[in-house]
Amino acid sequence: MRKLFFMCLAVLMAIPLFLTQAKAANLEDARWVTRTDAPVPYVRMVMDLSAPVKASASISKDGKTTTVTLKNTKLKTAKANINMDSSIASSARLTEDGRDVKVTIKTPSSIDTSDVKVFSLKKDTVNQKPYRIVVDVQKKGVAPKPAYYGKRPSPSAHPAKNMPTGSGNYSISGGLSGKTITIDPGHGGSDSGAVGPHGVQEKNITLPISMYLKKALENRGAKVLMTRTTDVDVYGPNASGVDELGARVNVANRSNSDALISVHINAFNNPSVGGIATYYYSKTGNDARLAQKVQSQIASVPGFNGDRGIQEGNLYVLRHSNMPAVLVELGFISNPNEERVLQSPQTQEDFANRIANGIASYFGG
Amino acid sequence: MKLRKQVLSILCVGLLAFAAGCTPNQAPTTGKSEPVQETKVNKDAETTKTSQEMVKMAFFVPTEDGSGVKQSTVEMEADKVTPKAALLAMLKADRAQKYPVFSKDIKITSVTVKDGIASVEVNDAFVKGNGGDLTVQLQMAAIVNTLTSFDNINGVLFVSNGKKVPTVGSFDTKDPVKRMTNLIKK
Repeated sequence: MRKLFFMCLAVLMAIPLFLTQAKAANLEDARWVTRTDAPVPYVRMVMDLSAPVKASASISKDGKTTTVTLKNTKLKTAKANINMDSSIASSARLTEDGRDVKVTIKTPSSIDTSDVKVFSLKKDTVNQKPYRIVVDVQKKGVAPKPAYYGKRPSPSAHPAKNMPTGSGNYSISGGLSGKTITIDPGHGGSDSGAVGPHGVQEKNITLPISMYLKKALENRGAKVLMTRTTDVDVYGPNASGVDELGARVNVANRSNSDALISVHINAFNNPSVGGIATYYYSKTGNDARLAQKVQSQIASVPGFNGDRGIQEGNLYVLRHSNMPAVLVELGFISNPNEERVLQSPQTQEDFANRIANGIASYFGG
Repeated sequence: MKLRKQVLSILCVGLLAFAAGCTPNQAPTTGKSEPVQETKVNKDAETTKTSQEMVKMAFFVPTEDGSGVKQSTVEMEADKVTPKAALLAMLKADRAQKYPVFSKDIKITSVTVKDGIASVEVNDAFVKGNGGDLTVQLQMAAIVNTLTSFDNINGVLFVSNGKKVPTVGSFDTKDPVKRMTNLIKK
């Protein structure tokens, strides 16, 4: 009886060993993303697995090849060669190596163990996520950046695809005289824009400022086009956003303007928020410079709540124009003090002259 | 009886021998060039726990001074952490502020994720972009940064009445909007 008992015990002890061995996990999918929200940008590669997997990682002598080995794993995804971020981790190759899968990651720069993190994640039945192995590869040679808002330019880490790179038919130097400038007074017609606490409408401020700006630029020898000179929609009443904004961009593009200035007044729920800002979109290499030149002139207009700096913004008129373009936000119409000051012709003309100074400075004249 | 014992003994020995001979981690040597540096593998880092456990769900709320968006968290049951839940928590937190950025008429009805892109169904009140460019910018930053906090989301599209929204206010939203890191305030 005792012998039978020990035999059964031995069988029971052997069963877990028997069950845990042998069946390989399947690597079912591999995907990646560039994360720019950390102090240093990194590429994250995530591999979906059908079962928990043990992994090891190593870096080659020259530091440009990182190999992650997934033990007892079969390759079940068609993604064998993956192109990733050429500035951080350019590619990953997935291959079966005996019983394992090797993930070979190439980096443009030599990296070390502090630049790579490999970890596993459990299956998440709640959010329907499988077992995963995650590989993070940090960008080399980049100083950690702080988060900031406002005064410094923040070029997009991912320039939009299919954006216009410029017709090549615009000038960026040689003085303001002879240059073609398009001015776009924001809103108009059926679109009032933002409305201040005392009923002042944005469209009724952007137009007079723009008319002063037209005069200031023409006095310096520039040729000026306007998207509107009266209180009208540019495309038509109650047009869609794309139609209306596209119509404004067309004025600048079709005239092969050297620069586009879109004039707006900002608004926000908190009435104490105020200040002056200039937006740009990095598409030509000169957009940020134009923004900086203009903002440096207008930031100190009296009566406004400070310099909000230049900022990159995915604004339609900036993105779809073929030449360097800026959108100025001349204070907050939602701020009672600024709403009042904006109605003053002296302030409107002051803004216009300063914007013209900034544009002239941009062209080197 | 004796025969039965013998058979059982043989079976047990056989099972033990079979089990001992196989391990899940055998990896044949390849004879390739030796690596110089080994990275340590961190095991079992958990981002979520199984249902009925409480986890912290992150979302980004516009700041009342208009300077950007700030991360907040709320404790939730793990099985309730979804992109839509995160957006609804964000809206709730924003509307509890003295100066909410999302007006009451703005509605977010659904979030669908496919191939890393979240499609957010919104209503006309959001698409019109009333309230000023800064308002729209922070609304977008709150939505986009909340959703891209999820591992499987790296871009956001806006949808209204089933159709992709090409512009929100003055902003171009034709392509998936990526994480707006420059507007994240610590």
